[in-house]
Amino acid sequence: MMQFLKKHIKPPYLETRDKNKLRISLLLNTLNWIVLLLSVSGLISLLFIYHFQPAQLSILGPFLAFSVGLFFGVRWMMAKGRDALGSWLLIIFLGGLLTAGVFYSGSPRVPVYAGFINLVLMAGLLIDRRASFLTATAAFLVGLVLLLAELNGMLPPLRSGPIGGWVINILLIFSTFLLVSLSSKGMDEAMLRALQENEERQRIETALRESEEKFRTIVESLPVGIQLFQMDDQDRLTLVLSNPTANQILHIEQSDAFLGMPLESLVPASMEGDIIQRYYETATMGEPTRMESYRAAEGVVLSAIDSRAFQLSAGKIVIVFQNIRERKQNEMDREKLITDLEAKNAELERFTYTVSHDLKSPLITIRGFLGFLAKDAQEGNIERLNSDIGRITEAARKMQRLLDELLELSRIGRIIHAPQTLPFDAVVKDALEAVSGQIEARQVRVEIQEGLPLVWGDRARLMEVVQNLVDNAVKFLGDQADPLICIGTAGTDADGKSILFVQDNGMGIEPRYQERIFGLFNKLDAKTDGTGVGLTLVKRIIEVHNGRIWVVSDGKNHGSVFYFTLPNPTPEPVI
Amino acid sequence: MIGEPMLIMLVEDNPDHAELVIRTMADHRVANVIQHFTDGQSALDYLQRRGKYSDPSLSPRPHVLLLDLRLPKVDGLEVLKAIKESEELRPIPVVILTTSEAERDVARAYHYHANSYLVKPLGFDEFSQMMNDLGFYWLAWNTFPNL
Repeated sequence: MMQFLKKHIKPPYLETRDKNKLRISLLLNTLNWIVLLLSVSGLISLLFIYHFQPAQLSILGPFLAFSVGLFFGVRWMMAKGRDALGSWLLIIFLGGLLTAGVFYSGSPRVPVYAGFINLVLMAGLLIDRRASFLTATAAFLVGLVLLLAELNGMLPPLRSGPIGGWVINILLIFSTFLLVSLSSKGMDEAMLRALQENEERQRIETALRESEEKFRTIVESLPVGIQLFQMDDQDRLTLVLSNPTANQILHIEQSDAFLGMPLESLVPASMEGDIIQRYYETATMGEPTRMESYRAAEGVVLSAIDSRAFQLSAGKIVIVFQNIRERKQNEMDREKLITDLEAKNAELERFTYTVSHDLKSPLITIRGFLGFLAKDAQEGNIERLNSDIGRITEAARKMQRLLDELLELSRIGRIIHAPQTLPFDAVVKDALEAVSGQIEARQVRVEIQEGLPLVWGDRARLMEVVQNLVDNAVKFLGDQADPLICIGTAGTDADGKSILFVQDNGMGIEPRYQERIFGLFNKLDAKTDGTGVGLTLVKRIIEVHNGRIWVVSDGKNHGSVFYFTLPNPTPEPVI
Repeated sequence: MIGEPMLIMLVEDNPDHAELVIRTMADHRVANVIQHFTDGQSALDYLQRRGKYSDPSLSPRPHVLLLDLRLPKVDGLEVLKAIKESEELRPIPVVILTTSEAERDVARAYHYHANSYLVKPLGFDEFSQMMNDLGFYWLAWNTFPNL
């Protein structure tokens, strides 16, 4: 019941954020009620005063219906949001009543006329200054017309006595007070509400600012790079935010200058590929992306970045990334170590195998012929005794040489001088000096190509490579009348490593032997000097330098070319 | 079999070892003829009757082949493989005679159908004994296919 009453007493339209409108609605509603109650109670009291005369009833009945209709009309207008129109209706209705009152009183001089003051006040409070002025003008015109009518004797005779006039004045004074108090109460309420709302807004703003400050500090102090990208009207992702770590990783000095730049121009070269594509997919489809990308050369990681992208909202992504160059370098170093270890293990296995065979071989000779020695002595076969001793001595010597060379070979993997940048022609020159004896003895012409590259390696070891290859070439010149050895470069391989070669025009190597010649103690010709360790040594040194070695030969008497690759001077990391 | 000259083919690159084999076998009067080759290629040339061995009367089939594994040019295993892959040469008994005790070599030799695998003993007496037994087994006890 109370709920029902409250709902119907309250102004019908209150869902407004406008304080002034709210105040007017409240005031208009109150006045509307007052006017209704006053006109109804006024009519009822008039009926009692005039003792229910039917003549009056016929006039007052329609008036009652009209004032009730007016009440609902004003409410309806308020519900439609037309408060000003409702106010005008009320003012015009009251103005009509006042005019009628003045008319029946017989003169605009009577206190009823002063009721227009309240209307002027109402118009000002409910509508605006202009309405107030209009009402004042209307009151003036009504007064003027009535004054002229009175002067021409068109009004009924003056009725108001001294007491009646005083009562009406008092009524007017109090109705003025009522208006002022109602409106000031509404204003106070509106002011208070506005003040509260203002406080609330300030509180929210402060909280928001604090929260923003908090997150900004976090974002700026994080050791991971954070960037925000937003789709622009050309469907390109452009930079909106970049934290200091991101700037540092990407070498951005002035981050403001980069705001608004498209993603494509900000992604470092090391992250190219489908990463951009994937960021766009994250931005449009919302699927998070994670990827690691890196760039490396010669075992040195130049840059490595681990990045993730998340969608904030459609067309907006945040990219979180960090520099993982050190980690990647460690990983690569570890992998290289493992590969090296595996290679060394395999080498060791080969080594043991070879040693078991090749060292045992002279031992069998020695012990075998020692057995014969006793027989030779018994039989007095001095000639054979001497030749057997010779065989034993030779086998022992061979064993010694094998041991020395095995020791040498085992050193290569371990003792290695610090690698340095070396002009390869200088290495060649020094190496040739060391083998000049053999070269001159066989009267070999040696040609060194111009423009040999700079390489990266252990000088002493690389000299050994050239020395052994030249030595090998001289050894297998065969019956070549015009022996020639050529040392040069054949450009770079797929990894960018320099390809170098030592070419001869000697015996050549048949294709089926070309792999075997690098094996330990493998000799194609049992009669040649040496233990068959030279090319194994060369291969080992090249492998220690991360290079490859292979031989190309068109077969017997077509000469051979030994190619090998060596690393370029080590590049410096860029990130 | 009696009266027919027994032929042993020895493929051995180390001249000292070849001498050891030949001399111990001679001491034990094992073989009538030992044909010695110092590399795999010439051994194959002989068996396949190529080049200077093209006349079959000058390159009779050996009764047994003693083969070293590590040989210049063509490796012992490849010689073995070539023999066992050849319809004609397959019946020739091939005895591997090597210094290598490596399991891998033993396995591979048998994989390519070696008939026996002998590791050269270090001591002279053992070596001598082995040659004696070897000769006895293959040339006295063993029955050969008709080649």
